[in-house]
Amino acid sequence: MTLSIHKNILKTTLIVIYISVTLLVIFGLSAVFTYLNTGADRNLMLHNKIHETVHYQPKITWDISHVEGREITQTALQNIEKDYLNAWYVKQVAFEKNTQKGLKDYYTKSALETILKSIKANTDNHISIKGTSLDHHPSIDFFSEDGQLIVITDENIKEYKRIYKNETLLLETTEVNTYQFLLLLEDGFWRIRQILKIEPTKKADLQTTATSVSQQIKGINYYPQDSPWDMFGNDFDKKVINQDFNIIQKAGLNTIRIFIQYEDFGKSEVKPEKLEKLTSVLNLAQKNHLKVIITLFDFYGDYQVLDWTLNNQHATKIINHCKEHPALFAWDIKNEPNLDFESRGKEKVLAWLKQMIYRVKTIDKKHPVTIGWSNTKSATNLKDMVDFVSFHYYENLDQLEKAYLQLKKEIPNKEIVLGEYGLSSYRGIWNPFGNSEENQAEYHQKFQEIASKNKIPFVSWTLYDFKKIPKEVVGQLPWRKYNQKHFGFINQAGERKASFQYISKP
Amino acid sequence: MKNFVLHIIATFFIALSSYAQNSNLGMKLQNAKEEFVAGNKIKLVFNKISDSIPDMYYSNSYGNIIITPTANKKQIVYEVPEFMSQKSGWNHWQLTQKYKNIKGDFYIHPTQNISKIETYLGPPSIEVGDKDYAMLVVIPLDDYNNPVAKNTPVLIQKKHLNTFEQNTLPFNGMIAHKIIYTNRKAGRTFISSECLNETSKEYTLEIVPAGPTNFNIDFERVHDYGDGNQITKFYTSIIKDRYDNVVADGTSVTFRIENNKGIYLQTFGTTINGVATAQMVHPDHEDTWNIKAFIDGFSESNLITLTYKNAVKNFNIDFKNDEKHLVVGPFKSFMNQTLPDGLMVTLELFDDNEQIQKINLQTENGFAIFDLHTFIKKDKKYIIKINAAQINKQLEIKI
Repeated sequence: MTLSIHKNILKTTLIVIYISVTLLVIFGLSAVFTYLNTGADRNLMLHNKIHETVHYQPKITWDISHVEGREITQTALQNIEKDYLNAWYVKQVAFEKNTQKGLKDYYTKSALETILKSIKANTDNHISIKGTSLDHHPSIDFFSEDGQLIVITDENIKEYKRIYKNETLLLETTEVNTYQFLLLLEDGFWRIRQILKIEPTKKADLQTTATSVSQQIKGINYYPQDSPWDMFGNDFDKKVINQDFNIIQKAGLNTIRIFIQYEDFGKSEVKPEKLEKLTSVLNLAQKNHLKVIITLFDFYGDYQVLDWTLNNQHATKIINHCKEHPALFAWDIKNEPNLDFESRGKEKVLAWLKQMIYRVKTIDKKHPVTIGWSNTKSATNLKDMVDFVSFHYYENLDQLEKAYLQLKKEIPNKEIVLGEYGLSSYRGIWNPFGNSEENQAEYHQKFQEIASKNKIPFVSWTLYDFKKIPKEVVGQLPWRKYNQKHFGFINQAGERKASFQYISKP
Repeated sequence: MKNFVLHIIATFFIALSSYAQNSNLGMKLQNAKEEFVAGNKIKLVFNKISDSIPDMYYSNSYGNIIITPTANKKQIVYEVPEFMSQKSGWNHWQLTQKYKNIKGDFYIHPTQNISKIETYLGPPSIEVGDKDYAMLVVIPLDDYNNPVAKNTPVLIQKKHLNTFEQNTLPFNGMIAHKIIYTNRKAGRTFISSECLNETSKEYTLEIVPAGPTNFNIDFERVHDYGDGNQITKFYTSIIKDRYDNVVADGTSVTFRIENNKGIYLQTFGTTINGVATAQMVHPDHEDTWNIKAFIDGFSESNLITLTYKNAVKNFNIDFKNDEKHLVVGPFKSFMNQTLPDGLMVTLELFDDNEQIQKINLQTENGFAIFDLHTFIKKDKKYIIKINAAQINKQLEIKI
């Protein structure tokens, strides 16, 4: 009996092994076959890759009011702009990576000479220049009658450069330059034939005017209960948001802080349907007498210099869309960027923030700008550029007052807002000694006492306990996820937790 | 004594404030100069104040580099590499690290020597008249491929037939340009330019005649018989544009012939010296042709009418019972001579009103001989119809 069972087991194992080996062989052969069948993509021959995708979108304002020669059509201008900006782009890449890739398409042979020699010199000296150009104001001076030659004066281009030698930062500079360009239309490409810097380099003026904060902020960070970190996704429901805003307003709060995910909104090509949803949220906030802090660039963490023009495009579109809305209160440039200091480099992140603050403030001169630092230590960064300072606090409440007063001392002339604070009431398998709902209520009561004593403007985290947390927020670890789920004033069943009574007052 | 102390303190503060203003840490450019000429050796010399020797960031119209200096006991020297100092325009330099506030700009002028003149002339051909024009763009380049200095005079010379013109244009820093207007006389315009004693190549601008105007046609033929053999030649008058220029050689003219039956025939010709000729073989019967010529989209000719007389007046048919051959002919032409080979003769064979065969044959030596033995069976009646030169004949046979 046992022998036959053994036999059967042996038989089954053999069959299973046989089948899996066969499958593996078939899979292997098919993989080899597929590999051999794929040649070079014929598309590559046309090297039109660079034409298809958007790599470089600095702010560009054309002046075609004084064109000598042929009248310029919109189509011609579009083609010129595309090739002109690609020329800038390939040059930035060339100086960053010390490569010649793509240059030939956008510069004629004689124009390339100096560029290539510069790159060669930089390669030899281990120099890498990460640069971008942010504002272009080209005017077309001349367009030949046969449409083959054009002269452009690009005034006051703001050029940002970060120069590295052996990977260490040598110099960071933002210059303002004015160049004249001669471009020729050669086999379908507008190629740069001559470049002439026609004015001495000026230093960029990054001065912006300060905007004051107009109200005492008593707020809350908001995500709908069913779509945390995906507020503008498919589950977008105006009714739910309206109800939530009503709860928030009735609870005695006057401000909400919401988040715009960079990729979700379409990066540089901001999706109109997302903007529509954003407008709906602002309208509902207005209806419920709430002011809105919009946090930009959520889930973005690259900061690459060559990405800047695309980031700016993204911000420009969103800000221009919202800046006149009465419910808008402030722009939070980025949530907790100091967490990227280590992985991306502090100077890289700060440079990005600096230019972004400048960008946002030039587009919208009315609304204040802040950065949501994750702790008090980082909050002094760029304190002169933001209109009010905000920081997040998840540490021991006993230290809050001291930390806040210290910060006040360091930044005496600006409003300091506590942009996030809260306590998770999770106690379960993953954290048996976690805080109870009573602990959470105590925490909020205590916080409100401190806040009212020190007049701390606050934005708490958050209205709801969430049912699911995307992995981008706290990673995959279950104890972190579970903890993050229970920060709300209202539990997963929709009932108010004990802490709710301390949502806006002690 | 008190004054002296005050003085020292004041000096100290002045020194301090100027230090704060420049914050150049005592390092200073020793040979400041605001202008250079392309190709000049450029060395920026600084006094050496400590052992820390910063690199220099340097940028011009085309690129950015870092210059590593050489230093001796007293001086730090930054030598701008040739490929940078050869390009005209504003140049910018800035020291790095803690000396980053020390910076400056200077201008590099193009040289006063022309190595080549780039000329762009387009479009390459324009139409005669008063409206059309081409544009000449001239870019004189110096020894290092820089555009010459602003306001350098550029001389443009233009010759069309017997007129000669000279203009001086100011160079605008990138280009000098001129509109070359057309002329009422077609021909070739020669253009050249000159700058600082260097001359360009010769450029030509073709001034092509404008659209052709209406014209006349005429014909030439050896006789007026429709013998299907001779050729009638059609030709146009000299076709000209509205400025009296003969149209370009190779202009295509379509001759359209409408015959008696309202059928259109077409023949083509292209012009040489304004005249286009075309040919058409005579009809093989009596006919009247109405002929008109066109240049598509532009112009047309007068209408001419030609008549052709019958060359073949009659012919015989003879069926040879033994060989079962049908002999058609002899065909005689207008002087009773044997008709030249090639007249089309059509035979239709009917069996009880049903056509069983149709044969086309061309005449040879005045005859067309049809071999019918494969189609005809014994003791049967057939009807044969013959058509040639629009003459119909009929014959009934039985073997």
